[in-house]
Amino acid sequence: MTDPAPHSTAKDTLFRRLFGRVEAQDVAPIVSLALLILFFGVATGGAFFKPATLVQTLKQGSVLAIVSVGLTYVLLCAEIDLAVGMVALWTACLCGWMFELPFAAGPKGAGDAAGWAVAVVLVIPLVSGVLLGLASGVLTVWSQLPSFIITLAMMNIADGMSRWLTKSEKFNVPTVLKTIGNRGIDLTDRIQIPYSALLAAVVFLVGHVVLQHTRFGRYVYMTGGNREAARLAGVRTGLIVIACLAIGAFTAGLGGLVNAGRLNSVSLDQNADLLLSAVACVVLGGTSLFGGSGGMGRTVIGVLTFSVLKVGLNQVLWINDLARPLLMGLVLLLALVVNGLLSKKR
Amino acid sequence: MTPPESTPLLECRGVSKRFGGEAALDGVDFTLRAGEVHGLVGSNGAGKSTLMKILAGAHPDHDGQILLNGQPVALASPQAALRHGIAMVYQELSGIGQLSVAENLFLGRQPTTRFGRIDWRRMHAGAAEQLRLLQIEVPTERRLERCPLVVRQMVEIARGLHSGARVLILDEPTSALSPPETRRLFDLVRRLRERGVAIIFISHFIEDVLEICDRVTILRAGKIVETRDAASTDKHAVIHAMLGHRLDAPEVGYETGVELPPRTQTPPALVAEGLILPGAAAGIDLSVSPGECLGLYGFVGSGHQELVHCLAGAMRPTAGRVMLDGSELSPGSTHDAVRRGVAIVASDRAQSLVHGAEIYKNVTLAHLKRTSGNWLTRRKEAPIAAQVLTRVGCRPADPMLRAGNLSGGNQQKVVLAKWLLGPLRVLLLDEPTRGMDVGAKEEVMRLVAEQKRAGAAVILASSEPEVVLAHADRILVTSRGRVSKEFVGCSVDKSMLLRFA
Repeated sequence: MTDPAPHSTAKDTLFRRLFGRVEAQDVAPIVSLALLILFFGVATGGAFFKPATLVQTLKQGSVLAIVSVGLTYVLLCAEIDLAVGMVALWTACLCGWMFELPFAAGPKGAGDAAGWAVAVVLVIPLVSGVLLGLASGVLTVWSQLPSFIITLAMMNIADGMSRWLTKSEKFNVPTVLKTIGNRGIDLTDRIQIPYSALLAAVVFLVGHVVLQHTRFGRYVYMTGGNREAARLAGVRTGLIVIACLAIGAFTAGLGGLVNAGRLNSVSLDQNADLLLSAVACVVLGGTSLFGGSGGMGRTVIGVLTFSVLKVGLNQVLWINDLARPLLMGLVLLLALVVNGLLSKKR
Repeated sequence: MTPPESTPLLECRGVSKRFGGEAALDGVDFTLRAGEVHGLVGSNGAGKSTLMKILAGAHPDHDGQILLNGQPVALASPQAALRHGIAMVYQELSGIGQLSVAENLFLGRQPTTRFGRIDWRRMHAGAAEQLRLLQIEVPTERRLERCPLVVRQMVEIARGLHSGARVLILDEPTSALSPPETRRLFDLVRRLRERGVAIIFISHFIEDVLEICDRVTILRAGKIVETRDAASTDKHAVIHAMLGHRLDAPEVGYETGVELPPRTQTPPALVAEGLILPGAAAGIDLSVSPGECLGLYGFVGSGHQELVHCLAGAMRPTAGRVMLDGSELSPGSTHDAVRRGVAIVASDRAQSLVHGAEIYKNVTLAHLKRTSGNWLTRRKEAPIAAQVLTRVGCRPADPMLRAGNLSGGNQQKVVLAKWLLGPLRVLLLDEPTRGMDVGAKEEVMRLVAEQKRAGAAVILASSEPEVVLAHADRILVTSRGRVSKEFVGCSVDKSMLLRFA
């Protein structure tokens, strides 16, 4: 029985005319990012603004960016996928293991793999990752248990499968992955646009367009915003959740492959912190953990912020090595709190 | 009935409150005597809840004075208000379901033993004593969630009194109660009046207000229109004061009864056979034809609301089937129902709109392909939404506003609006005007009538006899999961409905 929210005042509408429908929630992450960049610029004595830093930030962030795109879909429909890190690992492991089979490059990846073999070695693991995501989705919808629980189980399953498959050994990966992970388009001597960043940009773009301009994207937002209302309006919310979890798994797999390429091999210690970093990026950007609000643009900012933070901290020489993770956590906490406070003001 | 007191128990002098540029309350003078039940009515947005929140301590920064027993007091916080003896019982009850009645009564003030542990014996004894004094019959150990709604409300009231309240504010106490439960609540209210407690009774049900209250105050647009004795006024006069104009007779409600038209000859559009829903329907058949409004009347909890949800595909029945134009609707699939033109407007606005999204997104959601095609852009969708918003009379008709910022009545219009963007064969309404003021109710039901005339089959489920009597062509009364009586082609009035419920 509360009165409706007070109508806007003259001051509100002036602001709206100037800035369109920008809310504090949109601006806050950008402001945080700008402040961070400024801070590191000062703290490193200008070394932060070198082109090499930019390249490194892009490389650092690409894998995270790719995974975050899919995770954004999952969070937007008010679910969570705890398995992204392990699905990434599994996809990479399957790829490496298949790569060293006789039909591809053989033991240690020493031989030459035919084009079609490389394609198989890339596609099948991606498909298997999607299947894991579909399984998570179907189980979540059918059992009506929280996705938190289902994907927690899936995380352990994927981890276990990876261990069983690789038996803790390292595997080689196709050259194309290594190229994507490490090389790029050389603009000048020092400035290079990494292929991984280009891939991430493409994934972002596709993710954004689908989210903003397709019916599926609209259904994702509305399913997350109010699942029951969406259902009463005829949206097949179960299918939407399943699709989002599958998308999350797909990008996780893709990210896992690119990461393996970047590290030139597959091993069990990869992607260990991927889950939390990816969630942090999405949330830093302003997408709500409760669904229904956020988007790709915000996730981009979140990924950039995270990467800037990571690269910047590495560059600031007077910070103790041991203190870096702690500082990372503290700054993250600060940024999340600030974002949260600003978004409450709407 | 109440001896005139020289000093009123509670008095508001010139109380005003502004939000931003708007005055929610403007110079309100209000008095409340001890042992009085004072009704407060007004449309949504008239200022009722603002005034109540001020009294409950939620808006300490108001203008004007509040006096208790002639002394000015500062109600700086809800705790301060409680300390001054003002207790509010909200529409959404705040009792803790998992705890027992006694624990709820003593919430925050449990009696302890010497060692600091809770003295259960003393607590239950104290609770039993309180309940006995108020003549509320319920075992003190029973979990609150297992008690009927009216008992939960009475325990809330008892809790307020037990903590020393002399002024009780009841916010929409009867909106979810069946008639017998309302009787029970009113008995308690009368007992409280005899003990000198002052009660402010806020409600949209003007008949209830006139029945139980000694005086009635009508608010409109933040100002008090008038305060009069309940005995010397009637429903029409009150509504006139609330809205500033008279309403057509059909909307006001029927005390005398209506004449229902004969059964329609048009073949039915929607047919339900043998529907079984655990706890709601134990084998229900019904049918409704295009251009007909079928009223489903029953007490809250009689199953008619769940029935409507089942027909819409939102609940899967354990047995039975629903057929639209001869072919079966996929059970439990709202997608199938919506695709084929079966629409539902639920009572719970929280359930029917995505509050965080813009209005236009809500409006286009049901028929997205039809309205927006494959490539969604704001530029394409917003005008379509704006058009239908004006058509349903949503104020403001701005498709870019967040849906959650609208008032309840306007939100319901948005919910209706989305069904107007596609084919509408069957319109299912579940308590569509719950909690809405008379003016908004009228507007929403006018839209429904329009759709009916345009050929939709309408099913209106409600626990308010007035609503059903005013709009239905044929009435089914549900009781305990079955249809107990069908009224068609005859005259029917409120008491007949109640008899079969």
